[in-house]
Amino acid sequence: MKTEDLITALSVDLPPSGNRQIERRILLCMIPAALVVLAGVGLWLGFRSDLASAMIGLTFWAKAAYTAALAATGFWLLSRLGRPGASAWGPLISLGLLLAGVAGLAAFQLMTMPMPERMPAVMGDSARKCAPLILLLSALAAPFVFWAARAFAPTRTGLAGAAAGLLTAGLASTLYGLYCPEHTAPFVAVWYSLGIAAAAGLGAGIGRVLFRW
Amino acid sequence: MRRHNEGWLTVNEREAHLQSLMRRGLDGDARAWRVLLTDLGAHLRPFFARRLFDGGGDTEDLVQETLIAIHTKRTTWDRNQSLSGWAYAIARHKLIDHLRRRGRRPTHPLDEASELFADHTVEDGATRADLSRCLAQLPARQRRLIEDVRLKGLTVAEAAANHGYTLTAAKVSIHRSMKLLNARFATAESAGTSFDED
Repeated sequence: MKTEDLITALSVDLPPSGNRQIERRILLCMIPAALVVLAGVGLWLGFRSDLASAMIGLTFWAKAAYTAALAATGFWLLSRLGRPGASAWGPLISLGLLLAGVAGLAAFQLMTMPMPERMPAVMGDSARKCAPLILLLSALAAPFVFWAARAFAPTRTGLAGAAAGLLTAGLASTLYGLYCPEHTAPFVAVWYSLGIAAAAGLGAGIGRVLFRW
Repeated sequence: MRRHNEGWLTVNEREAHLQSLMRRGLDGDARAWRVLLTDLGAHLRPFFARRLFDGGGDTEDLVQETLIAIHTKRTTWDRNQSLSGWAYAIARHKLIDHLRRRGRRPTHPLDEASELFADHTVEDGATRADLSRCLAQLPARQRRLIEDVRLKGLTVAEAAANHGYTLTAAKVSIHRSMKLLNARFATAESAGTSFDED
């Protein structure tokens, strides 16, 4: 086929498209993803029994703020990586600052605790199942996010997959907070971060295969 | 005050021009889109040609592949983003992808014959001398045909055209030459080996 004919053929199929399609697409996919995770938490794990009173307190929202901020960073990173030629430094730097900030807060809390309380603060009552559960809930939301991101054009497919994984797991772990009663910063900094990092790692592998174009 | 000759546009002017075409294309203006793709194609062609070292056979394929990508991924361009940067990133991605794919499958260079004639070593020279001594056994017209087909790697049709043979006559001539050479030089073991005629 001659290039000229190709251009003619392409110009015929040209529906108008609005601005900021990438952000729109991610936001749209997050709605069903959030609903599926919410259903998973509500029907399978069950909401924490003290949910109403916990929602008055600060720790519940601090935890949600951390995971939601990770999801937002994932969103930002994915929308940058989905655009050829766009810089990803902004979201990467804020991800670093966010992780460093929470690690610092957790370390501060541990330091100011008497020694015998430190280990229980890190381990909580659900250390063993926290990361796997976050990973499972992420798996429920992942198909929506990864399907949406397939329309993008990442030149770094692995990193884009990690960003999609970060977004998915940030969303999933925020809703996981409706079930999980853990309330110490060290617990969240270690186990939540671990589950989310695992999801991002798996996402990188999936992205490498799925995001080829 | 836009000058009409593209070549005179500064980088900023070209960027602004491409961006306005892109915006109109995204709004569904088919004419602007066609102009944009043609413009980008004209920039892509030398870009790929300079970076592929295979005589440019793949350049046009790569131009087309990139234009298709630019078309299907057009909504990934942000209206505040540099259009040339966006298009360059796509072209680079397609180029790397192409080189990676080509690296994986073995290539069959068409110029093995010219390598044979290049005097790289003493041994190469000796081979060449032997070869021309063998071929000297053939009548001149027949010899040139054999050289074109068996050594330079031309197709029978091309060689036939070069030397004023019809296709059938060329095939017959090659067959006769090979038979003659075989009878003259073949050793006892390889005497029975047939050679394929195409």
